[in-house]
Amino acid sequence: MVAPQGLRNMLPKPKIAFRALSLTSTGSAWRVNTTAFSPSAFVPYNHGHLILAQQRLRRPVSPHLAIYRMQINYFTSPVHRITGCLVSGTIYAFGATYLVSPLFGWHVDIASIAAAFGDLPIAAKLSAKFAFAWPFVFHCVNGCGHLIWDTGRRFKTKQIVAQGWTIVGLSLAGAGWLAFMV
Amino acid sequence: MASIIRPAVFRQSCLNIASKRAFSTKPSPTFPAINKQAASILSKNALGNSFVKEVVPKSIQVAAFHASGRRPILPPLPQVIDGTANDAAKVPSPSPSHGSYHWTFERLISVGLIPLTVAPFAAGSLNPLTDALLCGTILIHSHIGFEALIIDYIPRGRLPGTRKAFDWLLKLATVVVGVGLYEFETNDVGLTEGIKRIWTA
Repeated sequence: MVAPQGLRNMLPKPKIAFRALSLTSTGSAWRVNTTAFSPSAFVPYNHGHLILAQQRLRRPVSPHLAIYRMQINYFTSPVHRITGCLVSGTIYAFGATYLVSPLFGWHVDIASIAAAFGDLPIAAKLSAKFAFAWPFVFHCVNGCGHLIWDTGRRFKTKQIVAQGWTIVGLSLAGAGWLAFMV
Repeated sequence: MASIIRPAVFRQSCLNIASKRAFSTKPSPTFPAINKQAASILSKNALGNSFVKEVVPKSIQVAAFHASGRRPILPPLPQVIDGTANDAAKVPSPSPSHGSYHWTFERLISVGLIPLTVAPFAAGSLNPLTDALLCGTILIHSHIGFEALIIDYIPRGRLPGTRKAFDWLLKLATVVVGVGLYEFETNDVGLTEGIKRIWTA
């Protein structure tokens, strides 16, 4: 009894042709790996589409979210993205607002903002400072962690977990220092 | 409380309540799709769930949903087949400027941001040139970050128009903010000095 792999070895090896990459090509960025296969049974164009589509719809999906084990990176990675959006979004909003402010008669220069901020009650000032400082510090510290990973270091599970919790601690400490001590 | 919605029968029996010929290949107006009057075989709606909808009544579908642990909340998208059924999946052609060089550039900007951010606050306010450099680097870093967001959440194959729109919107926003920050640097005290003044107000 020949094993299925053995039967496959008896077939002629297909010729594999790749279209050469041309830096000056203006065609579509998507290329097809052209391989010379001979189908065992010729199926008409439309019917093949139908069968394939129905097969796809019936395929089972491997469990993914239901079996995921919560780890520190599950939180730090989205938070890194979200804090990045917040800080960059603030800068973008400020830049755009400053540019269009003359059209609407707004005063968004530093003197006005500093005066308005200084008039707030102390609790509001401290909480606002912490609310601005924490996303920034978290993103910075987590970004440094990413740069460490980019050198190929600290990829063992224990190291990653330690790094995650260190980043959380450092970000809280750093934000606290910036908000309350500076 | 949700238990009052769950029917007494299991999902399988819900679906079996439908006709015994539910999943046969008996020709009908919607199966095979070639029998459909107007829609092209390649149109996105041709192969939706019309097959299921025709055979299993809506009430049975709803009951089956509540009876099952599965959550088919996101049904599969309309099946689109690129080329023939025998073609392999398309592989994007390699492009170093969008791949390797982009990655290196992104990391260089990120690394450069660290001294640029720390220095002005540690050493007292510096001259407008370094401040402008900081603004520019932050702008580029933010642009790359937002670009990654758009690439992740708006796939080109599924939403080509939306993706193009957001791409250009981001470019426009970056230019507008760039001009705004330039005006801010020129007319006002600068980013680091400004943050310092607000922080210690």
